Amino acid sequence: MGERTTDPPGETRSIIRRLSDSDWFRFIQIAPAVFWIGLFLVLPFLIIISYSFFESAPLIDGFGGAQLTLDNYVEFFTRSIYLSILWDSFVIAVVTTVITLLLVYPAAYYLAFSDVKYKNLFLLLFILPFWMNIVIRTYAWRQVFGDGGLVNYLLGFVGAGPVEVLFTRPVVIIGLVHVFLPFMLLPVYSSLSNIDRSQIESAKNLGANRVEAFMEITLPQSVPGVGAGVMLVFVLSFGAFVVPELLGGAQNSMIANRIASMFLELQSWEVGSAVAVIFTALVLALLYAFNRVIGLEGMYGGDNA
Amino acid sequence: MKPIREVARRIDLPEDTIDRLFRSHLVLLFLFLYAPIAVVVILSFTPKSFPSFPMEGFSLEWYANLLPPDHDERVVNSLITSLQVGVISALGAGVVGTLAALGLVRSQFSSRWLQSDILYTFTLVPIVVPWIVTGIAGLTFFNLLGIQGTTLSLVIGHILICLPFVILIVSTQLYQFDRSVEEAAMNLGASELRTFYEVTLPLIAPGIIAGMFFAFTISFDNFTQTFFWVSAQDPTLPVVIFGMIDYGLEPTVNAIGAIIVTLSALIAAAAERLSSRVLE
Repeated sequence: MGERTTDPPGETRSIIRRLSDSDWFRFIQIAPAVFWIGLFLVLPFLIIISYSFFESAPLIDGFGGAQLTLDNYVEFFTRSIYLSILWDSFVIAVVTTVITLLLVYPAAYYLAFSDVKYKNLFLLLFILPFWMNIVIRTYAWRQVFGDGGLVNYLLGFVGAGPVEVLFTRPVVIIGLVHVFLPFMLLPVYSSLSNIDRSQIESAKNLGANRVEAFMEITLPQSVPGVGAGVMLVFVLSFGAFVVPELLGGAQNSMIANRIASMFLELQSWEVGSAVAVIFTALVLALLYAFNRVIGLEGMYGGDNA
Repeated sequence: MKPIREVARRIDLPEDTIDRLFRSHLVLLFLFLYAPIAVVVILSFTPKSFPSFPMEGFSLEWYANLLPPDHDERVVNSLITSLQVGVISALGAGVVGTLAALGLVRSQFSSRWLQSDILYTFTLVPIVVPWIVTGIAGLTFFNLLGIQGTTLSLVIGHILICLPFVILIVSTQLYQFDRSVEEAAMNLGASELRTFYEVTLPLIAPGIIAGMFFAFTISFDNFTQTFFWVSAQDPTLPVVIFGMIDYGLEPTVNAIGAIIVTLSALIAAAAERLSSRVLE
């Protein structure tokens, strides 16, 4: 901001001007958003935390009659079903993230560095499925893998099949990769396309071949975008609900399905709350650790944020 | 690192082989992305009541199910609910988010208790909290307030989900904003308010509109959190679709899917045209 060259004409105006640039005024602008998130997300989460220490929830006669206990957490750590479903969800999320990254990186690299004719069209085609409802996209996979689905129909031509693949873990992972792929593509592409091409040219002029230039210049500079994409896809697939619900069946449900059924079907909100608290704490801890190692700059869309 | 460098030094494929590899990878990836969507669209024309291959004919029956006079009321009513909630949430998140973005980008809080980057991170919290947790936390709180299952609770929740995206998009726009034009307007005698309406607002309007558009689509598409907040009487479209699927496969869902696919493609194409015209 440059120095003002002319004085403001009136006394009142300069007061307003000072006010509108004051921290106080800025804080009032931010306040509604902070209030909204605090009231409708942080406070409800605190209630969930308190429920997780109650003997039973939801409370019927207010907070007064509540008995505090650690039983819900004891149940989580002693009944193997919770730990095993949490571990399964973690494994599914990691595999999904790795596959997504391996699929997306070469495509993003190609789009960022070669002079493809319809680059914008290709990018648009990658993002387009993002606008299509997640329920419908998951439903689509049932018609690919189910009875009378595309895969079994095609297998019929070569005399093989039918195969029963629906409600298995690989299909859940395929569904997750499909649904969350755009979340990987955008940050990876944006970090790759921000790389200064002249650096790569210089590396090549200094005798590096294509692979060496990639390893020394491109790969390190794409780390922030990869980090952001990996985090988004990991968090989203770790807590996935729709995909395992529709493609996983009873044997391959994930932690979110477990929490949901405790709230909606079993009405045991106190244990459900404990599971939710542990799960959230784990996700936030992983995010924090990841952020310490790689940094989150890529998520805010580049270097100006 | 050394052995990797050794290997890297030796790999040298001819340009056009590499190019061909990349291109086939791209094609396969698009096949993966669009094959299931194509299956949904194709099977929406099935004459059978169970969508499966082979199709054995062609029928528009399932599209007729969506049109008057004999339309499925649940689908149409939920579509109206989704549109209403989407518009109100987009407007709400647009106003609250734009204000927050203005305050966040233009403030420099650096006291011990109030720091701009901590506030900014806080506004992104709804993105990093797992969807399921946002869902059940809302369910619990709305129950305590006695508004669980109302349109009000849906709008409150959807504004919460959309807010971070509006803030991200509008603040990106504000970082590119040259504040000297505001100074110029005020030096020429415009009041604070007039400067805001005639200079600042028009310049950041594309960001606000993009943010609200994004908010609308997020609200319209949202399933996971909404699933916990809606009432059985007045659900949104994605929740109704989920209910239909849970009973089994149904060609009506294929028809809805095909319509959504077509509309998204048209809107995306229009947005692309528009943005490239603005940029040039």
